[in-house]
Amino acid sequence: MKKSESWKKEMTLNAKKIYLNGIVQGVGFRPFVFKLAEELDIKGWVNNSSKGVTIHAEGESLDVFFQRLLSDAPPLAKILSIRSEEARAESYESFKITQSEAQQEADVLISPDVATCQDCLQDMAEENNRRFEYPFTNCTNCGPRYTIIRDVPYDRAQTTMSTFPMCEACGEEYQNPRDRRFHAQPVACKNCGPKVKLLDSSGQQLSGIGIEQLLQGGILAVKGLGGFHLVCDARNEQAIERLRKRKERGAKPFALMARSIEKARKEVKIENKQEELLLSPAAPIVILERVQNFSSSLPENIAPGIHTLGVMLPYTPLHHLLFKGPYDFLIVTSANLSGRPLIYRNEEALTALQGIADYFLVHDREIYHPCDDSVVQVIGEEPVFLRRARGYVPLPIVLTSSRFKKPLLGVGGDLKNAFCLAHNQRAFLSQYLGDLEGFETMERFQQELESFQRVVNITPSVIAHDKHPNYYSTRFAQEEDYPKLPVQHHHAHLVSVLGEWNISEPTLGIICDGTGFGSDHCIWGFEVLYGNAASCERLGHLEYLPLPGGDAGVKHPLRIAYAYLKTLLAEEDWLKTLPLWKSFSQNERQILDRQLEKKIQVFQTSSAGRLFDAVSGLMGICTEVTYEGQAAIELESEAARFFKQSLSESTDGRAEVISEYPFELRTEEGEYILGVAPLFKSMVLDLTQGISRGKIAYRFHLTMARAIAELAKKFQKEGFLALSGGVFQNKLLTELVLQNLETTNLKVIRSRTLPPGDGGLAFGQVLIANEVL
Amino acid sequence: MERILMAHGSGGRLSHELITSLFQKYLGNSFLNQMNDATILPGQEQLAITTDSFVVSPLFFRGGNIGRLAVCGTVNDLAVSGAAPMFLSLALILEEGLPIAELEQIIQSIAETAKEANIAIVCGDTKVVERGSADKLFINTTGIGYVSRTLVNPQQIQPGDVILVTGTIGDHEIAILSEREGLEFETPVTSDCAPLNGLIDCFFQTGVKCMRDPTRGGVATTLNELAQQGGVCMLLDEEALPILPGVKGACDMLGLDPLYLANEGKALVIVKPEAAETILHKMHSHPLGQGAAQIGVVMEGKPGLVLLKTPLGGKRILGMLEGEHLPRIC
Ligand SMILES: [Fe+3]
Ligand SMILES: [Mg+2]
Ligand SMILES: [Zn+2]
Ligand SMILES: [Zn+2]
Repeated sequence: MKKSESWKKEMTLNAKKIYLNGIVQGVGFRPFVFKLAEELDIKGWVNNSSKGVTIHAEGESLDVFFQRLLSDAPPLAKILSIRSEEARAESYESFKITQSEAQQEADVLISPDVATCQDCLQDMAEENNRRFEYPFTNCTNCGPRYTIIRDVPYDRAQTTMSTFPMCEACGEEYQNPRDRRFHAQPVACKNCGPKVKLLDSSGQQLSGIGIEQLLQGGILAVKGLGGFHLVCDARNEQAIERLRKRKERGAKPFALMARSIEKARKEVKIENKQEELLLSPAAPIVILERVQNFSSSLPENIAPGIHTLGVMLPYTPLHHLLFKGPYDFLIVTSANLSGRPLIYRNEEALTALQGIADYFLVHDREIYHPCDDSVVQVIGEEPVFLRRARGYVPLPIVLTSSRFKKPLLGVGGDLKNAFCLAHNQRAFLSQYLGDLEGFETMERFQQELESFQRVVNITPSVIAHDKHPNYYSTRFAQEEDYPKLPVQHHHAHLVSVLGEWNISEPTLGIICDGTGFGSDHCIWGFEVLYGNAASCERLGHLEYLPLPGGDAGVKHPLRIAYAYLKTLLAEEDWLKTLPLWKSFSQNERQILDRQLEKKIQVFQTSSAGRLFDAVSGLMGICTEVTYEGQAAIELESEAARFFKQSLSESTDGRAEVISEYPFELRTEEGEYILGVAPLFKSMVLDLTQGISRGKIAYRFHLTMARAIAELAKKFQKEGFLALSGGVFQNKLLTELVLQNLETTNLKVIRSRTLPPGDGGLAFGQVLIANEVL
Repeated sequence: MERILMAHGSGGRLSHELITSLFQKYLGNSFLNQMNDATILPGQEQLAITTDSFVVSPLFFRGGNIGRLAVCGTVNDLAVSGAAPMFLSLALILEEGLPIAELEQIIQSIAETAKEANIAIVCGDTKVVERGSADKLFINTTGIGYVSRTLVNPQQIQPGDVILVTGTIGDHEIAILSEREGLEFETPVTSDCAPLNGLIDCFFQTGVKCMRDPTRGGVATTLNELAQQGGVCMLLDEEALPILPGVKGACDMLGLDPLYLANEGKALVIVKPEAAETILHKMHSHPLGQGAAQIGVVMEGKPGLVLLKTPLGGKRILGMLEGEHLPRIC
């Protein structure tokens, strides 16, 4: 009641001050206000400051004006708060955009980078346009943002465009509130803006942008928005093989850039959600299922052993120009050396990529925040982040029901590191940075930590870090002077999801993860937790199984499989019947036996990831891991392919009914333990009876999904169930879990804007630290 | 509440914390604070003194036994401190029930090793404790030597200096481990346990700045200590590390890192760059220096930081030995 009364009161006033906050700079917000004011005959002014946008409005239709500020705001604007107060009418004669005020405390959000818009593409296509084929065309609706910003407020002088004085024509566009480029900070043209240069490996300048070279099978290092890519013709198997070898990349899949969504459809299945993502301003890499296609132009070595492809669309003018070449797909993979961070400076590219790239397509617009491509997969109708970076950072997660009492830093985990800065209502996650074991990645972490503080205007006073004593992130935190708080890995995973959903009540969660340091000093990874940021209790877990050799063992799924079988089953059940063991030498087996018996470097783990690895190894699907998660990813692929095939082979469009394997839920010391001996026994039996690997892999997924659902139902029949941890990047598993719970009253909540894996960990850490303070 | 953990004796980070928070705190003086393998004592003739206790299990292993170890350990601490080892004390703690024959074998070995190291055993002590109060046999040795050459302390290590090691790394710990746990690797590894004073006499010359024997905690932990004390940064080259195939194989199988494994007959030697080649050459001419190699350099950078360049070209921080190598991969 009260609200509508004050609303009415405001409406009768003929002058108002309006304060807006959120992403309101660099997105065409002031020209929008200007045009709206002109249309509604509002007088006054609008300005930008480090506090946000302020409007002084006088006129008849102030109410409409206010409403339409919200409803008609430009597509890239994100209004987080709007507040208005009465003001004295000053009888302005026009509506003006006034100079930005410099103020002490910045409170304006920076936009992520935005894929080239249709209008700019149009400009680039018109032969008589000033920006015909200009590779740095942008406007207030598109172009670089976060990656070029040194400091706030967002002003050309504070970006890496500061070294390019605008020409007269660009200056006019920039000054004209009716122009699409009004106050577009990176505005530029052929005359005044950045330029590209094609070099060969000796530094000799060549003409063109490398299309010829791509066609001849060359590998191009291309400077993009957030860093360098290595690019080659996706039809050229030899070029891809060369790239794989030179990059020492093992079997890790390469991402593709497709000319258009129509062309992409020839190779991958694209449904609505996926199309939406591909075409979104963030333009991420979307993981899509390959279509069974005998006329496919894409060789198998793009993504060996996997049923999916990572596809993105061109998102900078330069990408669009590269597609002037007669190919529909390019390999576009981050240019970093194994274990090192993304390369983003010309000089570094020219030296570090010698011997990898044949040609270098560089430009002179500096990248300030290196930023990898984001990777998303639609799982259960919702996008799930595998990697969150370009196009999404630095968007905040906004708390609606609580706040961060102090400025906080969560340093995240060690692998797929992203840190988090949080204060008041907002938490900002950094872009994906990589594995901190690499010293150069650790340096990148420190560099970004420093510059990110400026972008989001948070200087932390407390640090939260993982409990793992040997994490590089932990050691970094320990060397800092601030008070610090160790946070249990899976507790952080749980709370990260709760935070995204603004849930503060204790909630049931099942975390299926790789490995994390547990409160009992064992290595956790499949945990039933109940709690919130304030506290957390472990209700159950996968039974402890031995992981021989720790991280070294993770590279050898066969060893994990062997250790699990040896622990779970009697040898006569499996040893002789599995031909797989022939790949172990007698001596290797002997040592493994001793190692397990004497517990030398053997870790007890409830890891879900290692269970998937073991099953992958058991079936000989993946016996040597060359990239993180490979064994589990190939296992999922095997299962997904089987399922798809069984669907297509059945006459009525329904697959044969395939059942789960048995498993065991027992209680030990008040905790539920998921026992997998019956599961392994059945899988071994199937294997020895010649059942296909695909079917076994599929049944294994069914079983895990059922086990997760059953475990949840042991504790509650209704309410929220949080699913988190890297294993929920497994589409098949997650969708099977959702199916299992469809008819129950349990509402599954999952990560929405952050990765469920360690990329989202830091957010959970700051939420927990905030409670403990 | 807090109790001594096994890791407090591992020579890693916890050992260090124990030393600084307890021993140095209460016992610290200008001698102890040298924090070197042996302490240099003042006087007309400068003396170096060091002491060590030996609690290895099993008592006998491929390449040596606890007796040989007890002589070598103390001799080497003196030798890397720039002293000529002269006198050795020998204190034994015996567990009731230890076979005399085993003891005799160990004493014989002590005699042989002392001769090899050219050191005289000049005093001793024996205690016997009840069954269960000790594990078969513990030995303590204290060694005294004349300081025969000036070694520069770690503070003088400079960017540009070169890091040498006198031979393959990790042999001792893998030999002990396979003996103790009954691991039969395809290529059995022999402990490198040996007195180093002869080798050091052979290669020592001007340009040698600092020497350390990388025993517990291995090469990585020892270099961390040196980098900290010297306020310098170090960069090792993984491909240059001399590692026996048997040690490499064992490490791959067990998930161990050879850089953190104990050695009992190796020295890390930090030298001026211009002297490196000659010194390396001299090392190679001695039977105990056959596997000597340049493994890294001292660099400008964050003081105390030790980095390892991997074969793929990236770098990784080598910290001190932590309790155990807990899995990190998520
Ligand atoms: Fe995790
Ligand atoms: Mg000593
Ligand atoms: Zn545009
Ligand atoms: Zn211009």
